[in-house]
Amino acid sequence: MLFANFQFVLEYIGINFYKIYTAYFVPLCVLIPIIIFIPKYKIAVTEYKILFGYLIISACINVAGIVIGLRHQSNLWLFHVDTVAESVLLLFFFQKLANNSTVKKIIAVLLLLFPLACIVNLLLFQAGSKINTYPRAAESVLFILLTIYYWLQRSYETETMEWLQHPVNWILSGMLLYFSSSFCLFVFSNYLLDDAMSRHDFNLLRAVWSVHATLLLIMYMLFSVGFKKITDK
Amino acid sequence: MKENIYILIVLLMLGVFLVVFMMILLNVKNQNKILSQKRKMAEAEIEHQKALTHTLIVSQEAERKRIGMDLHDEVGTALSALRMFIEQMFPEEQEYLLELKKESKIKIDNIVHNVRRISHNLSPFLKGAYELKDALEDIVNSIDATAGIKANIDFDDITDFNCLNEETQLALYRVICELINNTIKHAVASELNIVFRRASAFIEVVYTDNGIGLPVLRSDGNGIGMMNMESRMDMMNAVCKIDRQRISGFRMDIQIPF
Repeated sequence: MLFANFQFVLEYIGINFYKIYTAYFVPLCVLIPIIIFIPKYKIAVTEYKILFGYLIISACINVAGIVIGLRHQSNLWLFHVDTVAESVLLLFFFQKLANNSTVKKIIAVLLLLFPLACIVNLLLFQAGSKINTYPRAAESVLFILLTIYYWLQRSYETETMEWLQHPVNWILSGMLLYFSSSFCLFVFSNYLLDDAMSRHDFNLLRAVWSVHATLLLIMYMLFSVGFKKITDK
Repeated sequence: MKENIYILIVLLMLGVFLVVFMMILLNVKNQNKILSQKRKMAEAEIEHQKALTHTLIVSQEAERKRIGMDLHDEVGTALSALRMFIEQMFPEEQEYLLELKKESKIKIDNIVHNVRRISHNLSPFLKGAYELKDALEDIVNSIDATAGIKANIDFDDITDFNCLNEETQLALYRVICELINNTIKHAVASELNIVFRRASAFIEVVYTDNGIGLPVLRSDGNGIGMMNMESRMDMMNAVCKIDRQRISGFRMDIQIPF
């Protein structure tokens, strides 16, 4: 009730809460892990530097999304760019984490095939005016599997550090929570978009995407905690 | 009807989020439990190793004491008897026999001296009134005379070490011997000082020399001598502090509770 009143007041004075939250606040929160990582750059290992690169590119895409949005143009094509950049950099990240040479080779093959599949999808199946639900959902499944594989691999090794002290655990928790929870939104996003467009009512769609924004925010926060835990030991 | 799908998707997202979150939480708990068990096992292993080392040192000292006593009592007594026997032999004063008698007595005296030295090294407190303080003074005097290092020992107001049990006294003696040995062998020092002070609950020993000091942390860990010292410190429940900030020289502070 209080939330509804708050939303009403914001609407009355011309501010859309969902819009501010999903289009400006959460995308700009990517700067938090970036700022935390900068002083740790010299002591960080390669996998964290790759993740830092991913966050920098995400920040650029987020800013581009905000700018295009302010011009009242469709920024849906950015999903396609984001998926390619995200999949390449995160696959590199998982390749660095993997110990097994077969897994490393599989990831190397995926590094070639997945961006190619994204481009084929863009050209043949889901154009820039649609959300790339197929690659996005496939990417989610891929990262869920890789995260679980990494933890399985770690469970066979002799653990010397407490779970909460290990930066990778925080980062992977963020990824697992984000990709697994957002999976069904990615699958149905075009369906929801079409429905909202046919009804000319985007409020429910915004509400669903604000849940996605919250998951993204949680991932950024967990990345931040992980980066904070990086030491030179 | 169509609005329901939005609610269903949000519910599905939250449901998955909660399930994954709980899985991660369980994983954290499980991992920490395993780690804590491993730590406990490692601690138990260390305790077991300490107990083994303690038993080894105690049995080694007991064996040393037995050999020392045998040497001192049996070989020493037999040599003294042999000396007396030679003394009583050859009553006629023939020049070459007298020379032989004199040479034999000198050789036997040397052997007796060496046997005593070895037996004292093996078990320092063999003589009834001979205590840790005497043994330490003896060893310091012998360094002064033989190693070319000026050795000073200061017992402050300590008259005896009876507040420490025999096992601790022996361990302290061995630690001091090892420190002196290290100074002679590695430190290139011209002076060493050992100062004893008695506090309300412990005896403090400050060992210093003016040598080259400790090398920068060794990659291969501590040497055998250092490990033996650590084991004996553990036996005494002593607290030991090495001053690694010194540019030259060596300093070790030991506190032995009683």
